[in-house]
Amino acid sequence: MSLRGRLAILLGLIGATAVAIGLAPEVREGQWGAGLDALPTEVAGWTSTAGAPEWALPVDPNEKAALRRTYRRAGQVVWVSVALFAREDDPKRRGSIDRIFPEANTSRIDRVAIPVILNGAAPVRLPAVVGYKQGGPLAVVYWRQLGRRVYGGDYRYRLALMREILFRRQADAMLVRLGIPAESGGALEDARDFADDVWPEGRRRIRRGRRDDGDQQETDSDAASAQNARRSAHPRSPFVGPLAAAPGATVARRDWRW
Amino acid sequence: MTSFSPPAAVVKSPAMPVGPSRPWIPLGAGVAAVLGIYAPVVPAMVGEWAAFPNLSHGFAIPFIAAYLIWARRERIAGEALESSPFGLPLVVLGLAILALGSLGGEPFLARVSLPVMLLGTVLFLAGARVARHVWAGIGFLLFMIPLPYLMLKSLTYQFQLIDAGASARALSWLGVPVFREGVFLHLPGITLEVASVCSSVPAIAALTALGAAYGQMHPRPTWLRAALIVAAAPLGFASNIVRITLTAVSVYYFGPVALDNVIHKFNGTTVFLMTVVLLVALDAVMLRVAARNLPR
Repeated sequence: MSLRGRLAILLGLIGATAVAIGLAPEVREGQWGAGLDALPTEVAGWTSTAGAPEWALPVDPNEKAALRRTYRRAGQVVWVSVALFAREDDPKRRGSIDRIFPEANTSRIDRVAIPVILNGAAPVRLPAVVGYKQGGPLAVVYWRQLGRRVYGGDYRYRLALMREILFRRQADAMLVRLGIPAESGGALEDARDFADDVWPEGRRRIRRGRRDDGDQQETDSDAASAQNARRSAHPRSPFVGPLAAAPGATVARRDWRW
Repeated sequence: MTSFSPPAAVVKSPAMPVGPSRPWIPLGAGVAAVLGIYAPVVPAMVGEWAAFPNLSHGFAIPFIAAYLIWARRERIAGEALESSPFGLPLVVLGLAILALGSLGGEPFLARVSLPVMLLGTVLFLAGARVARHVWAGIGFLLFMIPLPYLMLKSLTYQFQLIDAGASARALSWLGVPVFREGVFLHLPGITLEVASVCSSVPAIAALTALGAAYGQMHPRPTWLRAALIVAAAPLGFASNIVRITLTAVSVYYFGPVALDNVIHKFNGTTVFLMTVVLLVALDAVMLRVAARNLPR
């Protein structure tokens, strides 16, 4: 093939790609079908009061809507933040990971993963961050939701977000964080208990808009089987200490003093 | 009208150009079209170079890459233009990655496809012989692309811990009492934090680029070039440890006022200069070894 022919092919391919990129529909903000206030205030023995400390769960200025509550049950305390974000495709949003956990004045940050059943039969491995601050260790367990799908890992979430943007031209996400003071030990188990008890009901109530209705994979009839799965998946264990992870947890990294 | 008169080296090539009288013009047009489609990708990347001092070496990379290609212009001009069968698939792959990154909101993918596209274009329009001379310059462009933030953040934190551990060990060897707690170094009366800006990671990217460029500047055996690239990262790490340790020793003996010293305040420059000195010294040693091993 002649050089001109090759050039024509190249220009054609470049032109076609430019047209495909240029004509792609804009990423739009979704419609949220129900408010975050639908998260139950009392469920499975947990009772809540409004608000959660900002030093534990920092506020992201890009939140479209947010709910912060403090849940208590028989000596257990869990701070909860549920926040909705739009246009997560904006490159500026990549820094949002800095606001999940308070990093300032933290000598060490350990990352673990705990299995929690949030959406049915299969446990999801959620990232948990344990930070050692002067005031005592703090554990933060977090996950994200795109529609009704739950994503524990950061990379898995980014991949799913890319798929969402590519095929649905939507980039709205929900970030759920559970903050637990960890000085008394068993913090991650408290988080797991809370997520198991409260979130299945919560996620049924917090519905994303109509576009997700066809996307539902879990029906209300799944709830009973999910509850059974939760009971069998998490026998309580007598571990102590803020780093004592829930059964099945993997400690991704331990940093030893010397 | 002017006609293309190939250099003597080209005449003996069986793949003499056919078609246009100025074969380099279509190649230039192809490269210009590639750069054109990447025009929307570049400003955000340049913005990141400007916003984050750790990425500011990105400004120098395109110029160094251009120089690396310019330095081989005579050899490139001596090659006949042909087409490589790998060119078109590489072009298609590059465009697919560009589309995926642009439409999927992942700028890293869009950016990383630029060198792929450029190499594919050269292979497709000019062939493997020309590509052999320009691949180093095109590949060098990879150094200007910031890592995905998620990866960079995780890597930076791991290196903060490693830097703090290595510095604490060095301090205890030097007789400075220190207790290390994560990224904190507790000295008598003061606690120092190995912050993210003190991590070796930002320096390593820039210094690896420096090692690659330094190795390409003058004729050297290929193994020596590779060794310079590979050595730049650990040398940068070692320089950073020296910098942190010197700062901590100064704080121990002179108090917090030492945090205002030149070594600490211009940490990027300090590490860069120390690494350049180490790299030049290493190069001199290896050149001497290479010269000694040459057959007489």
